Amino acid sequence: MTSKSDGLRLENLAMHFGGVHVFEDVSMRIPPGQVTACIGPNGAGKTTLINIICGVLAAPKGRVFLDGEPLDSTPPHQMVQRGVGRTFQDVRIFPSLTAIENVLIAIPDQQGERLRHLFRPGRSVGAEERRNRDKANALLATVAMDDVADRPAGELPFGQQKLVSLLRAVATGARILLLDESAAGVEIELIPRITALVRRLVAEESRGVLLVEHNIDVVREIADHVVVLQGGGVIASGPCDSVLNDERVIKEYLGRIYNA
Amino acid sequence: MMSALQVLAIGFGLAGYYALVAVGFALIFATLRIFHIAHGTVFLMAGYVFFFLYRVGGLDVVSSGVLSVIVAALTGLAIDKAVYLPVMRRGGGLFSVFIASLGVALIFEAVFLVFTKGIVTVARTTALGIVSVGPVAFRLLDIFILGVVIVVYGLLYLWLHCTRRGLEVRGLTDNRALAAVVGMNVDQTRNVIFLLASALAGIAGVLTAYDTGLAPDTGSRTLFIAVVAVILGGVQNILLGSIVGSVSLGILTAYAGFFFPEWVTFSVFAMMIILILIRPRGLFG
Repeated sequence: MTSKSDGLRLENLAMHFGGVHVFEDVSMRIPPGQVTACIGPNGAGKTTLINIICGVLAAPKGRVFLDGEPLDSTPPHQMVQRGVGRTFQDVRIFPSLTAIENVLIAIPDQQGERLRHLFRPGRSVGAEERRNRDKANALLATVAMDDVADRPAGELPFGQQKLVSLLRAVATGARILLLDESAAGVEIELIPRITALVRRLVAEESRGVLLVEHNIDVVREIADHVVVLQGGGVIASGPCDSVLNDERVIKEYLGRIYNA
Repeated sequence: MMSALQVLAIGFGLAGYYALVAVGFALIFATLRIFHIAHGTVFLMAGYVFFFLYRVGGLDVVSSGVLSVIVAALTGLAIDKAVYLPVMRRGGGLFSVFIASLGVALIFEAVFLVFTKGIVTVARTTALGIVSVGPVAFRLLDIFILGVVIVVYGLLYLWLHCTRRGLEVRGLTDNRALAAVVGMNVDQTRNVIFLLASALAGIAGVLTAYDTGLAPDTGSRTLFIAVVAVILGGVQNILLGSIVGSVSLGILTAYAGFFFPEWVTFSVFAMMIILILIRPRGLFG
């Protein structure tokens, strides 16, 4: 039942902070080549779920598996090597590095350019370095940020800083991406670029994406599968269309958003 | 009567020593948030190893220097592995590590005191050469030190801004928590930082042993001035902060030492306190 391409599997996770129960018995799969959206009101535990997967929080109950192997005891700094990358709800960047450096720093398995290479004429920029720069530039171009590639990330507007952190997660090459509200706070005209990027990663690179998102239009556009987290558990799970049209989901969650 | 220009020349010579120690301290503090008081121990270790290899052992000056710098680099790395890393793994914060570092520095100082009986040990056996430019006499050693500083800072600049490892070091300086999240091999970069910073302190230690000689408290005295230089310059700006802080203090200590020798320490720390009051993050922080 478990295989190499199983993706991420959460089994019967529970979480509480002190006496406050966040959720009980949450199970879901984030398979490769699909976007799995996790929606629900604030406080339902969506970000908590990401933090558990990444090893930032330890769940008192339940397990997390990646391609059939337990992920539970992996420390946060080894998650990327295991193949799990994430973004954060708030902006987390390297402010004094340029936008392109923020992306470059995440590209894994680099020999890197050694100091001695700088003193050999004609070899000052290694082929690998050039490839990585091209890759980082191409990623920036997908969200129309190639013109600000060399500006310090800390000087960019909030929306572009969020995009930089999204691109950084993508650049890690992680097979599973956990995107926490990546579209929130981003200029509305850039959102289609984010959705196109995520679709491409899923379709062409067969990455698995867990999308935590409040923007239901984004979910509707790119999610294959939707899980609704509310009131301490999963109230609906299934293909995007059927979940978003589910009466209970509309009544208990979506109705509130649309009526707000 | 020594001219004001002559004192300035001495100031630049002193600045060279501070700059070599300060930049390593800044590198370690900015990236790993370790207040590495034992950086002075590393400096001292190199100086004493150089003294024994060159003066006692009779090895040639270059081999002695290179070996001493290697010993310094390994000493710095060993202090991190044996003390800081275990303290931090057990949840020790900035303050615990600071106290541990102070402990290491005092232990080594005591050991050096036992072995040297506190006598100043000068590795050099010949007089130092001098070149005169008009009324100002420059010591050849000072010119050599300044050359070393220029080469070291130039290479560090290239390393930080044009190499992968340098990018990681700048990333660590910016946001340490995030560096791990993006999958950076923080442990490996940490080793490189300790080796490099300690080697630079080692170069300063070797030159000091050759120049003025060492006493067991020379390490901590040099380190304190280097730390003030880093705080003056601003910790976040590793290269510019260290060099500007070091040159300012080199000149200040030279003039203070010339006009009011007993007020050198006072002037260094008074300058630091005034600057912290005006600019808490240092000149370039």
